[in-house]
Amino acid sequence: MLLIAITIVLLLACFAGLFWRLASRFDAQQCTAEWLDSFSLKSYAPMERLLDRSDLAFLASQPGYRPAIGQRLMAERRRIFRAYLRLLVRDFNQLIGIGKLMIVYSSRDQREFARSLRRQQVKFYARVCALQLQLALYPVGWTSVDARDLLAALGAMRTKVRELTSAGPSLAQWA
Amino acid sequence: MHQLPIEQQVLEVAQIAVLLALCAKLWWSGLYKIYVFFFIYLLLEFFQSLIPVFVPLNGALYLESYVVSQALILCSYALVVLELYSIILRDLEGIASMARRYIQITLALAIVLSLLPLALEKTPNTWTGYLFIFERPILTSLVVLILLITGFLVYYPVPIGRNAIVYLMGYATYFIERATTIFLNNLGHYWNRSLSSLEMSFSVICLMFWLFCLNRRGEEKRVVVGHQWNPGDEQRLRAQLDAINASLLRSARK
Repeated sequence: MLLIAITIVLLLACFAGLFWRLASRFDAQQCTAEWLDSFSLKSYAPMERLLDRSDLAFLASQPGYRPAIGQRLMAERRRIFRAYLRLLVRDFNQLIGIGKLMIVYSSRDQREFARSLRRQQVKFYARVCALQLQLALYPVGWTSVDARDLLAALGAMRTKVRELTSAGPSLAQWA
Repeated sequence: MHQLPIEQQVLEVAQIAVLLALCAKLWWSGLYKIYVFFFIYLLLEFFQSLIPVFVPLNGALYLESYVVSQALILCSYALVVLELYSIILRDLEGIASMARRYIQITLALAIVLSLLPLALEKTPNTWTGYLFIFERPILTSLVVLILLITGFLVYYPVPIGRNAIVYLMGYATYFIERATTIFLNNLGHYWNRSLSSLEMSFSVICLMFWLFCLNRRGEEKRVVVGHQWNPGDEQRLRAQLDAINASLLRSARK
């Protein structure tokens, strides 16, 4: 009986969550042409060397250096890296949103594109999780925190969305 | 009907009244032309709810009437769910084949999941027992189907009207409740009066929810490019899609 009650409660919770998402709906106003025009991978260039230990090595070679200074520097750098990571995930989700919008409103079947989009999404989130784990291990000596794969995935998503526009009928004709 | 407990008599009257009102509202608003199977389902429920009024509960005729009417209603459950999704996904060529494939897979998964608890249920020895043994898996598979397809609708920005969300909420709640009460009955918990009263209460609540929340405007709120139901939103979305397209083409030429 307890198992039945737990199952019912879980089912109702799942439905409540899904209906709330359904009712709040995807806000197409978040994915605008202005955002697309301003989007650039270059804004994430600092991520590639934020956690580079050579800066720390240089600082350690300076007179008056204490380990606490280095720790504070790297902690700050990690905080900034995480902020960049959040922005990167947000931009990726924006691109995914645009891709899904184009799929739904397309006048042609977009099964292959949708499949590719899902695959990219899963890979991207897996990489984000791996990066978060690396960041957590960074203070205990993990040195290889590399965001280049993520940036490449973001660029690939942008290219994919662009390909859909170039290959098929324009959105204006989809109406 | 005088053989029913007092609370069930009250609920029976309420159910008949709300069913009549809901059928009248669907007819008056023209929604019966869009949701044909749902309208048929309501009519079947209405005729079934009249059975206790005219037929003694302790007779074989009542049993046979209930079993036959419930079997018809079971068929209509599946049809109303499939009708709703076919309306939601209509004219969406971009995801048509994907949606078809997804529904096929979720239907198969739903059927498998719903058959698993059969091992726990007692072997029936009455007509209603056999009916419940069939009904519970059908309802459970519909619950799983609604859950998984709603997930699909959440993942893709499929335009969906308020009426469709209201239908889905009503179906999900009612099917979960009915599947649970029948499952408890099939496990051997014959709390007939309590479960029947609970079920009738839920039925009345769902019907009242549909009565108050379904209307013609719930169809018109749907934002779909190419339709005339909401011209302001349609134009805004069309302009936005055009702007996104132009931006992507500009960057492709760089």
